[in-house]
Amino acid sequence: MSRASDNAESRALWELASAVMEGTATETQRRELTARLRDSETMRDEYLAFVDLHAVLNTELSVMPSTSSTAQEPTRLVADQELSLRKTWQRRRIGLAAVAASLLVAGGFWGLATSLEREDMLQVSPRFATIAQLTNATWSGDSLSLGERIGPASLRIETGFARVEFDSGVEVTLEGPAEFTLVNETLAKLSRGILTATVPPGAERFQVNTPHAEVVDLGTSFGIELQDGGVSNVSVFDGEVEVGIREREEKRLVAEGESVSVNDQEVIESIGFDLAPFSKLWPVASGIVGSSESIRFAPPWPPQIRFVQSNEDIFIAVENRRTTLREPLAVNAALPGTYVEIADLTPAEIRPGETVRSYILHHSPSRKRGPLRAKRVKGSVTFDRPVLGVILRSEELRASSRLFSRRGFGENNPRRELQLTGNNDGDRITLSEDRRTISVDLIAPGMSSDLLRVIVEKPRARGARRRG
Amino acid sequence: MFKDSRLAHCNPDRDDFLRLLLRSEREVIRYVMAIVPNAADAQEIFQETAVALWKQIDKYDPSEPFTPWACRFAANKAKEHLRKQGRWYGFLDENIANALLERRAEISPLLDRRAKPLRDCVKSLPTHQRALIEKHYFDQRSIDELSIELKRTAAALYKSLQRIRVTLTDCVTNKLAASEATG
Repeated sequence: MSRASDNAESRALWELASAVMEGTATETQRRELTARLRDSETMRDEYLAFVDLHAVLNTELSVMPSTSSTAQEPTRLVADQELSLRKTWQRRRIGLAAVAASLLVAGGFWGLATSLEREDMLQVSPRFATIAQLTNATWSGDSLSLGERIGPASLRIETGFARVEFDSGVEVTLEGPAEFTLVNETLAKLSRGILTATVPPGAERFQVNTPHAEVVDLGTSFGIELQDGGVSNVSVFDGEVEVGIREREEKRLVAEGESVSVNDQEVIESIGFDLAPFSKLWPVASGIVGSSESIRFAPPWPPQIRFVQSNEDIFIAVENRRTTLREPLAVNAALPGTYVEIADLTPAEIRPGETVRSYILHHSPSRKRGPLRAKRVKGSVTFDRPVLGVILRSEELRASSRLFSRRGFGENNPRRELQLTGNNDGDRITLSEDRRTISVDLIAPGMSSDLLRVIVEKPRARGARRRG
Repeated sequence: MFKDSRLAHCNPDRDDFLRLLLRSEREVIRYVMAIVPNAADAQEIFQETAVALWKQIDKYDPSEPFTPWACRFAANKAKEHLRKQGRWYGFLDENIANALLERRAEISPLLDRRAKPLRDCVKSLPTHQRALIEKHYFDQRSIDELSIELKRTAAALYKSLQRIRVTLTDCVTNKLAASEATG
């Protein structure tokens, strides 16, 4: 195949072929191309090479093997099996589902497919994720509703936030404007905007592709900010991720508290760790639907931020995103109502086997300039799931201290418990009727501070339930 | 008797039909695109081929490679597609279509060698050209969608794509010549 782009005849041929390839050719152009192909074997070769390049770009650009596509070595099989599992991009996946559906219509296929394939066919487009939370979300693409089950799809959010929960337990939160494509349960693509992802044990190697980078989770939480021009900034909040250049061997491990940038020249560079781009995502990423007054979200990193002191603020942080209780968990307040005195408490035990998420709320006035006159601070937090119980007394705080986190929150200090005195110097807490909102009215006089642990229902990941 | 024993022999392979099909998909689509060089049409033909293959699976000899068998069915479906779909009216005829498919089979090792440097060639494109190629092929965005997104006319985008394809064709040819000269 000689170089031919300076040959006028080849150029004319390619122009006609391009029009046919794009579906814009007129009948005259189609006939013209046909005539050229009829007349000359050279032209046929030129044409075949040209359309094959187009075909390869279409079928293999995202998965192009580094070796010949017809080589029969064993690695080819592995690559293919992997391909059939990953099934690359959305249209491709939908195409395969359509193939499966056609086969189903053709009849008799049922008994032959494996159970997994059958499930795929049954649903035509397999669904593996749920829209778990929407906050002021407006859509520039198809709009999706809360609780909707989705499979391979593109989410185009104009404004607001959306949280997607994969059946594997992976949670991805997006801030509009954003475009995010779910490819399958372990692979997604960010084409625009900002996301944070948290990946539970068992779902490691969840991967997010951006135009120039592949971010593979190693069991952690991280954020990606995709800037105009395709530069991806990846920040790791917990654990470790592997950032790679697409289709190149180059990979870099990025640890907690580090950020890297991948530019359009496919260079990975360390950059200063910066949480600011993700600050608005935290509440949504944490399953918090709303908050008011003095409630502030503690960023996830560095962990010590949870101990930050402030006279005006009550900080909330996710302590453990999802854990299954192995023994009964004693809580101090389990029923809706307002708690002012110790006598108001409704002690209960959450049963073993229950899957929960725990949050820490704390208010710790600054005493750098000596004791201040204590000031009341108020606020409320609404969660996406019902509260199963609140732990606010020293004994129960201590007893539950290592169940949810390796890091302590000072539970051993008796001055951190809530003081339900029923007086003006006491704390108050209200659990709403629907058990989704907690309102606190706190005061921390002297050397005391306030700490409470909120236990929220968190259903086990669908994937985990299926495996179990 | 023969039929029964053959079926019994075939059964485990029949279970693998979908796997075989998926494994051959890219090759079959590439083959089809020699005479129906449009991605959406080729995908449609592949689906029709899948149904036809399934109906004839009894006739598949598992000792033969699956892809060439699938390609024979796909060739018929593709020619049928050209005949039936008005938008292909005037393009090729049975003889030229056959000549192209035959020639494609002959030069397929060369086409595979040409596919190898393509990735590097895509990478060596200037950023804006590469972005366009990635959006069109990798993100599967239509020209109309891209036209809105990039605020360029469809005609200008077609021209750009055409130019990029020519650049890639030359790049592949050059790289192949260089590697075959040294290797």
